[in-house]
Amino acid sequence: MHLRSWVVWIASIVAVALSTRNPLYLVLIMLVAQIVNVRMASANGTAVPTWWLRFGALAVPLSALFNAISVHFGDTVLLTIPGSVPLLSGIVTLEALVYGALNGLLITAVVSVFSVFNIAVPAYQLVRSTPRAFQSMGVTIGIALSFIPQTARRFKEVREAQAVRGHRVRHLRDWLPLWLPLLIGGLEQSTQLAEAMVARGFGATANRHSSLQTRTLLALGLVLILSGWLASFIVKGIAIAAIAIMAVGVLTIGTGLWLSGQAVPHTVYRPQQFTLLDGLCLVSSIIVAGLLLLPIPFIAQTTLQYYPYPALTPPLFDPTIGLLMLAWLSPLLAIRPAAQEH
Amino acid sequence: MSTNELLHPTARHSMSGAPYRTSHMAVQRLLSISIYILTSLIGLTAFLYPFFTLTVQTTVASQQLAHSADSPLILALLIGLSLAALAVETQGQMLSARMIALLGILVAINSTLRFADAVVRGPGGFSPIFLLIIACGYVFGGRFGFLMGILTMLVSAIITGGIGPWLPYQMFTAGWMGMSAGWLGAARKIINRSKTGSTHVSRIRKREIIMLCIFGAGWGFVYGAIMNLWFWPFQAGDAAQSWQAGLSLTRGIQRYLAFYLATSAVWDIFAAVGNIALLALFGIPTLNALLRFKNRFMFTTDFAARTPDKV
Repeated sequence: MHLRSWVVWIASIVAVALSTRNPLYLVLIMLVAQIVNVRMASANGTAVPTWWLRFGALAVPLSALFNAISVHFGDTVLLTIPGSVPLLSGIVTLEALVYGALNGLLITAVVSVFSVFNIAVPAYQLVRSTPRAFQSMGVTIGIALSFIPQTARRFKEVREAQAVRGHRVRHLRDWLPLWLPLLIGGLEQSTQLAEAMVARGFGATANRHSSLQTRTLLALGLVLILSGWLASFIVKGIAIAAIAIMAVGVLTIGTGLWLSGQAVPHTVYRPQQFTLLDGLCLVSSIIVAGLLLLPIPFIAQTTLQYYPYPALTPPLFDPTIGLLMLAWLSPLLAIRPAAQEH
Repeated sequence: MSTNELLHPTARHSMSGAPYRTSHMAVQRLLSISIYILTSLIGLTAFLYPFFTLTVQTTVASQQLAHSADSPLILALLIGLSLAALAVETQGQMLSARMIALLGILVAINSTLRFADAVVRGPGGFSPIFLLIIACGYVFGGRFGFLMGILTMLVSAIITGGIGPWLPYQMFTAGWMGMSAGWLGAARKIINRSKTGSTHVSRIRKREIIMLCIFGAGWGFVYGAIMNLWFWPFQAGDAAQSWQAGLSLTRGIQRYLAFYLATSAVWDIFAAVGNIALLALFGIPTLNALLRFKNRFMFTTDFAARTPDKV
């Protein structure tokens, strides 16, 4: 699937996930993420990522425990921690336990969605999609990603060479004979790389520093964002005006970045195809987020908000919202095997 | 046509009006400084927003709405945009192939360290990546340190699957760490100036390491304290250490300090002690290696600085 569709898909789910603490919806989001993970893994021939489940298995109980022993609020008292230990002493309630678990569940749901992104979008595709305004950073990231395997290989070579000399790692200081050759070798390698880059004409153009126009737009945009943001905190009742000022700031910065990018020539050897199914996934993600976050009469958005205090009540589930969330499975239609991406 | 003009077609224009060029450069410099200051202020506002919003909402219901309105995703987008503006500004000032190659390789080394750290976790908040961010910022300057910080976080997140709404915060904080390490460069010059002769190099280096150890220990705590802020409002409850609407700024800070001491202080002690240990054990040889290569990497030929009659 196209990178643009993935970004919109993730933004749509995360925006909704962060606006709910209803465990039923959060579990549904995780289920959707894992189904897409399984489909991605089968398309790429890789293992299904389960690390986020391990993360959740740790985050949910820890968060529940922490909240239960530190938040002494709620009607259903489970036990009382005696004494006068600051923060800890007091009642432990079921509501606090559940609320803590919900915090952990929320973070796990967000992580599960990003686990899809991490296997769906290869590093080279991310680097290739670097906006033209960040050409130098894109080159740097490309170099770094290319040299990571070489660095790991060099570390292994250094370790073996030192081991032949009888070196063993027992304490932290024993890492120095491994660290220093790795660092100096890397520095030497960078001089060779720089010479190769210059020999191939890198940086040959006369002046690619940020232009006055770009800098002015960036500075102006930052001023607008900051002033709008601070105004929303300081002056009451101007929320819409503040948001408008910030939006103008965002547009100004966007224009500055676009102008900066225009100065950099860019060609793509194999452009990634944006298919009809990619477009369908993109549009459906925007529609779902809009329907769930904007005030729409026939959708019970109040069920998104769940608050266990002061007395625990079962969370409500609106089937319409559930069905809308299932529309996030749209990548199943658009996912192609890695070999067919171009 | 002079050699200078052949190499740099814009040189004739720039040298023909020296006063214009001076004022133009002054404006450019002013704008550059403004971008740095404004981006840092936006970053600070984003991190400190839980303290700003304390007095705005008053009810539980509005608290929920506040969470959805000021969600970390929107904040992450704003931070990301500010970061992008700063990145464009910073990269524009160090475009040479040497610096890009150096930065790329150093980021690769640091990302490999973070990958190893992700596979075999160190104790608590200990992480080996801060050694190189601090050392590079200290030796090569604030801009390089900033780029080293943000790119280390970005590249290591790509290879470890750590991309998420927390990433812009990590990048910003690590970037600040590298940038502030660059500010210590001025202190280095003062230390070096206080002694003359090459016999004092070893003593000077020890002083530098002591200074960097203190700096690293401080950042061990500051990094954790700043990073907690992005999710602190989502750990909401009613305890003395939780975010809650309707409180005063002072009370909010007190609650955050209580939260930090209860949850992160021990974790960050490991980060601080780890930074001290790494800088104390590996600092001198690392600085020596970086300083030795610095002159090879940072020489520039300033054609425009020549006067027209000499060309």
